[in-house]
Amino acid sequence: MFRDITLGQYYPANSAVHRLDPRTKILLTIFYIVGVFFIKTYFSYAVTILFLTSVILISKIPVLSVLKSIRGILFLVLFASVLNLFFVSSGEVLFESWITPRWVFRITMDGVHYSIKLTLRLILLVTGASLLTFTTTPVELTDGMESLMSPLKLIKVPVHDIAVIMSIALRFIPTLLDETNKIMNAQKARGASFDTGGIVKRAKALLPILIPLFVSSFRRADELAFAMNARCYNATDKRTKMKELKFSLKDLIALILVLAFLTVVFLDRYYFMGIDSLLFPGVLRCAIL
Amino acid sequence: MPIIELKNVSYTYDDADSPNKFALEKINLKVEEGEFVALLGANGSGKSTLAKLLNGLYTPYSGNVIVNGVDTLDEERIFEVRKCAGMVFQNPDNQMVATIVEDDVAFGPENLGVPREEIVERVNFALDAVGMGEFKKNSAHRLSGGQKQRVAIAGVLAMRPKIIIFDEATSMLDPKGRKEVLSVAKKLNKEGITIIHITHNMDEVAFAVRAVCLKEGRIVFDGAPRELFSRPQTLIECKLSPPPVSELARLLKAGGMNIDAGVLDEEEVTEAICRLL
Repeated sequence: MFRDITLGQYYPANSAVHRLDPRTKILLTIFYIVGVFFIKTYFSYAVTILFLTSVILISKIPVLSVLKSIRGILFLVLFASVLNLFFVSSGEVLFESWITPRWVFRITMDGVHYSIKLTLRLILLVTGASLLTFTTTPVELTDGMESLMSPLKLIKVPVHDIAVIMSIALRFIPTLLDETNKIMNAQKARGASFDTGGIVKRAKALLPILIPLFVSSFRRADELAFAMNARCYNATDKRTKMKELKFSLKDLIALILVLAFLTVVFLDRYYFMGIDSLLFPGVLRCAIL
Repeated sequence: MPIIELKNVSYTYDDADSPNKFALEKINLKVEEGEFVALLGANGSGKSTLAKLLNGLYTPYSGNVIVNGVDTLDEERIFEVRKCAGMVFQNPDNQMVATIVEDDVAFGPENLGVPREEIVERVNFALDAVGMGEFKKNSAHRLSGGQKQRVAIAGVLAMRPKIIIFDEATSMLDPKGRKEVLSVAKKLNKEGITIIHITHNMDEVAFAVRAVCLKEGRIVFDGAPRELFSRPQTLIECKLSPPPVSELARLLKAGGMNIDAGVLDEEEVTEAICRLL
């Protein structure tokens, strides 16, 4: 049930992407996400897919496990695209039927384009973001966040505490997933069923999983607190770090590549809409995108 | 001077103003540097409580715990105590702070403010000492129980402790993991680290030089494991069962054979039986 969640799962490999400074990766991921939101044309989507695929290949992560990260949002993607298919009513009409005199069921060319683009956008967003967690250990990730957020210390935001809380949360995701599976199996062995019945019945069936999970999480938290104390944990400035963050030439190159990608997307959006209009005449009229 | 000294220590989980029941009562114990002590007792005998008193995770209700010359009540110097007396806990999953092995081992020295180059050195040293050097970059989640516990030991070792307390650290492991952890403990003891091993598995007591038995918060036995095994009455009193070998020796002796009831392991019992034949 939860086995498909890959977010927060580090894939160890020795690649140029893995070796980038986490701060660079976080910032570039944000740039990428902004870029994806600006995409308007199929040409740009093609460029993005090409760009993302090459990053995946460089990072030496099996393409399949990256694609698996989409599974979690598959329902959302389907839901959103089907909804758009039915509710976008501008453009060339492909299919039309009057259900009542006042309500028309209509699928238009614009709707089709919109759905396809929405699907592409969501998939590109999730795969891009999961690439960050695939190539960055949670510790690097939180170190990066901590460093990026450090200006907030000036206004008394407990940046270090937030970073520790985040890294522990990430650290316990796989442990708690295992635990959930164990509890589910234990309940199944006693005749509980989780995948039959209506939605209310299923939601109720989750209760005997959640309660033991909560109880054991508190116990774990307690024991972890002891273990951290036993190892002299303190949140003072006296702490040192084994891994120091350092920008290098690699980071500059990555920055230039992502900026190049963004330039293509922006130029395409504001100047070169021509390529798409040649390929798909009519798509330009789709004003919403 | 003993490295650990407990003077008249009592501890209660009750409200400190009106305690009815003491988890530990008037414990006096001295451990010398380099000793390998097995701390035994049934569930609820107070052995885990005692362990947590040894590095200041709990502070005594009355009495004093002195570790390496520092009183655990001294809050200013509590990090000195914890640095000196490292602790490995029962559940391997609940004591890992970081996802990656080397990051977890580095956690202790990072807290102590050790300079960066030295942390790297200490992490490598500690991981090699427990035989986990090749797993440095691995994700801790995928290791076996015994491997996780060895990483936990490395995490303690990286703080350069004089004492390591194993708080039932083998109780959740399979026989193979148990053996891994015990052999690391034995090796570290040979290198001069004091080991306090808390367990209710009698097979593991044979590793120790000294066994301390707790019953309802009091020490009822303190001596060599050999002596303990030859006194089944004490074991039964503590709700512990003697290991099969000493049980065999005891039965043979009861059956009229001239055999020492204090045998420690299979080899000794085999030898003793062979001698009789």
